[in-house]
Amino acid sequence: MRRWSLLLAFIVLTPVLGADEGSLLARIIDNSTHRLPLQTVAPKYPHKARRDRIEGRVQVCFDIDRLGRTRRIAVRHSTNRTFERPSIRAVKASTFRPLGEDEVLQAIKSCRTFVFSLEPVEEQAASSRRQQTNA
Amino acid sequence: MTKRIILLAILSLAVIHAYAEDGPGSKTVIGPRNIFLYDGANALMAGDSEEGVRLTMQGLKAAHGRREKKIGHANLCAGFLLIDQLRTALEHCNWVLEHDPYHWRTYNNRAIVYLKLERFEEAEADINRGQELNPRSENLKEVKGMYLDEVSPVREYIIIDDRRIEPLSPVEDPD
Repeated sequence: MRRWSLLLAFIVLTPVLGADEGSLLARIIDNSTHRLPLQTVAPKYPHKARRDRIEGRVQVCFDIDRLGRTRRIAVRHSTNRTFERPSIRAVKASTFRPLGEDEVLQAIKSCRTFVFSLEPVEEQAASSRRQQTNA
Repeated sequence: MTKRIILLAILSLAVIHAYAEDGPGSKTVIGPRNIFLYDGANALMAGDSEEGVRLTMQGLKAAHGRREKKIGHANLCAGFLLIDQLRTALEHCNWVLEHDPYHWRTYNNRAIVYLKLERFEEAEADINRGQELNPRSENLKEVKGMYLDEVSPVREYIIIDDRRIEPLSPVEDPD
């Protein structure tokens, strides 16, 4: 029985891990925080949200330390909890330009809003995907 | 897509379970009643689709009673789907649903068959019927996602908005 449970758990997990990446587009609006972004990581669209055609928005606030790393990350507002974890991960993986020795660290919270949306794909692209699948 | 179909079909197998009966006037039986059906289901779940189909067909020949026949046909529906023999899969799916119109797993598998045959309206009807019977099924949600990807595909679009929404603090605002 335990063997079957393990097998089923593996099978259940695999589609999530092996899901198609899809074509992710990320657009960044206005980087004018008080610190210059060095690396901005886009969150991964959650598989179940994409599957169920769920869209949403998450605002994450955080501190930036002298080295440009994000600290004390917290969700300030979100329309759906599904999107919170990938948003936190994305902020955690993002970095900002480190401060110079003569610069003073300002105790200001930065916030970043992620908007997760799904756009219809034109029929032409859809049919070419179908053909690829059939091949 | 193919990998998802395989996994979903496997998850929707009507596996024949071991059972034990112990009561007055009855003998205790431990283990599967129809070993071919049982081994066939195991082979299908292990990914050996052709062997799974072969064993399940043998099991179906030796099936006793409606329940075993239903399990045999349901697993052949999944098995032939896995080996991409869609017409044969459809025949077995139809057999099950003619005899048991409440078998949500077969609606799940037949919906995949219809999707692969590009019979989208029938696929949608089976997904809806399956979800009426088992609204919480993750398998059916996955199949519905595959159906939506076929009929109305979408592209993920993420906006990262760093615009400040709070008023600037006095330290930052020189005015």
